[in-house]
Amino acid sequence: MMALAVVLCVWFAGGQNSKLLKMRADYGVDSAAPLENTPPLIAFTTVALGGFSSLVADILWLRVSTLQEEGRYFELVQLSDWITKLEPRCGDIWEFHSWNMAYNVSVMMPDPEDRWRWVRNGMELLRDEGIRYNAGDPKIYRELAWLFLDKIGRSIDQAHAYYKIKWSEEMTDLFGGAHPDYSLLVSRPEKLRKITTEYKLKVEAMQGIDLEYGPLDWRVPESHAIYWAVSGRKYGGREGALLCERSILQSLKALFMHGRHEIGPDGSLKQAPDIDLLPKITKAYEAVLVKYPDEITIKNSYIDFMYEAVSVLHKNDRQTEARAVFESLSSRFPSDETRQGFEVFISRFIKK
Amino acid sequence: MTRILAIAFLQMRAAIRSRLFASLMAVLVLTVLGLPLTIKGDGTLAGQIKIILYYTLGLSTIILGVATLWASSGAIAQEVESKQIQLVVVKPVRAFEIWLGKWLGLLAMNAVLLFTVGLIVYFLVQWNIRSADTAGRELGVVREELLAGRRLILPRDTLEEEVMERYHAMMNRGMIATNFSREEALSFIRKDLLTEKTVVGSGAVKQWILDVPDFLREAGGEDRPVTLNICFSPVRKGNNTVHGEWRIGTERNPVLFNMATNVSMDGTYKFTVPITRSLIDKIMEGTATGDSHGRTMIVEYRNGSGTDSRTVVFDRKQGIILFIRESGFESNLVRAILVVLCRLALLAAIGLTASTLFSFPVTTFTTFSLLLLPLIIHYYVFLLATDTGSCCAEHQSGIEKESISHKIVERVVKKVDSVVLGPVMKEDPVDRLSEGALVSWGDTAKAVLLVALLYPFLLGLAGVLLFRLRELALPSS
Repeated sequence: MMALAVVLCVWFAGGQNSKLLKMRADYGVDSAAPLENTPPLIAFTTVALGGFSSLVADILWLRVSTLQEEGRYFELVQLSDWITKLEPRCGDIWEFHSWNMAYNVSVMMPDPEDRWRWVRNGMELLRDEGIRYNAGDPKIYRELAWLFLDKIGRSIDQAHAYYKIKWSEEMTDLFGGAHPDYSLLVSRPEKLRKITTEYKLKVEAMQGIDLEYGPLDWRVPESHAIYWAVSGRKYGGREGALLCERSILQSLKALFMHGRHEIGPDGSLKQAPDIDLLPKITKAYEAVLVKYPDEITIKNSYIDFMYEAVSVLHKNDRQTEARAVFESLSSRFPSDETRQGFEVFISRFIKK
Repeated sequence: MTRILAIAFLQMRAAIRSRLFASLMAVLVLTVLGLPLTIKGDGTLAGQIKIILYYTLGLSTIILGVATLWASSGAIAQEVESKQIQLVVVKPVRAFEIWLGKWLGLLAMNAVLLFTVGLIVYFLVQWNIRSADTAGRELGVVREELLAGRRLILPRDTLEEEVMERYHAMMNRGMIATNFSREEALSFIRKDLLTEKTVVGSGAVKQWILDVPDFLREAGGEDRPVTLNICFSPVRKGNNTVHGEWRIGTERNPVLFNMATNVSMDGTYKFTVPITRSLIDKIMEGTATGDSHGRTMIVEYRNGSGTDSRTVVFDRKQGIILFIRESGFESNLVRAILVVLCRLALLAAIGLTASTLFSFPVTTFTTFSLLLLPLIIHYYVFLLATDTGSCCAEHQSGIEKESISHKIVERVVKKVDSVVLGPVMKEDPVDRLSEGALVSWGDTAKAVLLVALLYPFLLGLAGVLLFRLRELALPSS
């Protein structure tokens, strides 16, 4: 009788396994499905070292700090690689080392070319390795998207124009221009392989993004920020998706503000607003607000975007569209600034 | 001498017969050739060369170090256990000849292996340079800065003297509260002075004094290129405009050379000033050979005033460095390998001496434990040197001050670290080589005399004494 009870219990517990796995994935308790085809080195270090892997990672981390203090960077890529591989399922470690290389080490280089190499090192650590081992961690995607949006896309770095030009050149070479001809890409397996293996981009996903938000200019870093945020939003449940949605909206807003890139004959970069994206961005904001009605940050971001949109449209002599956005702003989110009408709003609150 | 050489030959033959030599050679060749393929550099040729030099030579040193300890631990102990030693000691061979012969045998084995590694590394570096698809500038940097033996001259560091001076002045004026210990006061003063020495605000002037070596007077400018490397960064985040004037001169003539800096920076800013032969001649002017007073070079930075030029900070160690190319890569590599060989000689001596006293397993355990001791001492001293916050924590928590015995132990440990371990552990030759820093003949000679001769001699004396006291043919053994 006892044996039968034990067998029944085991059978019942076994039956719950798949449900539990699903729940773990839904609640974001596990970062991803178990790794398949793990490289022998990773399998060996994680299994053979066991709990000691953290200790080794700590020692290597100390070396990273020491070398960085001494201004010796040549080993950092390898050390970061080892540290992350010793704790491959800890997303924070991947994020830290990527950020360290892209933000901290890069600014130690006086030369834009050297800086770009370090930004790329940071980006590649997440894109090529971090996502591979943490395919279900939305924070990794968000971090990669942030790197494109903030480090390459914004002007916080003195060498930002160099980054944008280099990335634009690479993407032009890859896609043949701003907008990839997807039907042509499918017929060119060599090119397709480069896109998927080297840049880890899926053409179907790019097409989907173009349909939802674009067509985007894929030479511009913000488009890639959107790509990675969209890739990550299906993971980590509601919270994970929200992280990525925020990145998408930030990137869309940045595209609207300065998403048109033009490289002059002298090699200089000129940026201009991509006003044509306005309907899609508005739609994206509305969709996220419906999905997350209580998220005050999304609502504030939308209001802020509308202010910016009125300003950009007005400055670009698109008065009808500027007026339409203003009407929407004043009816949806009325404030002291909007109550006095379009003309007063323009003269008082929009920077010349 | 013949007897010593015969023992050395037997030791080498034993290593070859036991396949230790062949196995080590295979492992080392695989390490040297395979490691650069698996290790990622920073994407530059210089990074790749540094990785080759640092990792391959570093790992080879570790492998050879462990193998040397292992082989030396068994050299006498295993022969005693297998009774082979009885065949040797009944011959007219003295104990010191057995010890020395075995030590020389191990040294010869290490020399062959290490120089083979060095040769492979050398060709690997050359092959990487030839096959590199890099622009001339990068190649130039590698040849001039990395594949060289450059002497680094740092500005005079008078921090500790100034700390003491300020401390005494403050004490005399009664400016230090009575509840502050000496260490606490010194720690705060040191921090203040460090800030004063490294931060240059708008309109401020900062000077660095560098002692120019006397040999530059005779040397031809082309043979020994001299450069002044300057590295600083703004204290504020974001873009910063920095403009100022650099002056290089002497006490008598402070402006022998000047240049302006006018940059916008958001991170580290580095540049190199080539010091021409004529400038060196002017610096050396009026000083006699061997006159240590006149050979000073004064580097001065006058930061622009107002909001036009932001405050900048100079790294205390990396901010200003004078580089003098003294040798080529090949001779630097040879010297670095010689210093490593000296260290291996010391390891062999430690293992052999322990081997005269204990059985093989106990010797192995003892020697490896003994190696940990200097590492712990060195780490302890490092902690003492960097631990500036603990005294304040102690002060706040009201914990009792250090006991006298603790102070004595601390002093002894520091002395042991500086006098005994310093010559062995102070500078890592592989590290210096991979950075293009000079491993001088002076350093090499010091390593040979102290690490390869004096310490092994003392250990040998102890080993011979212990060996003579040891019963080698007990009825039960």
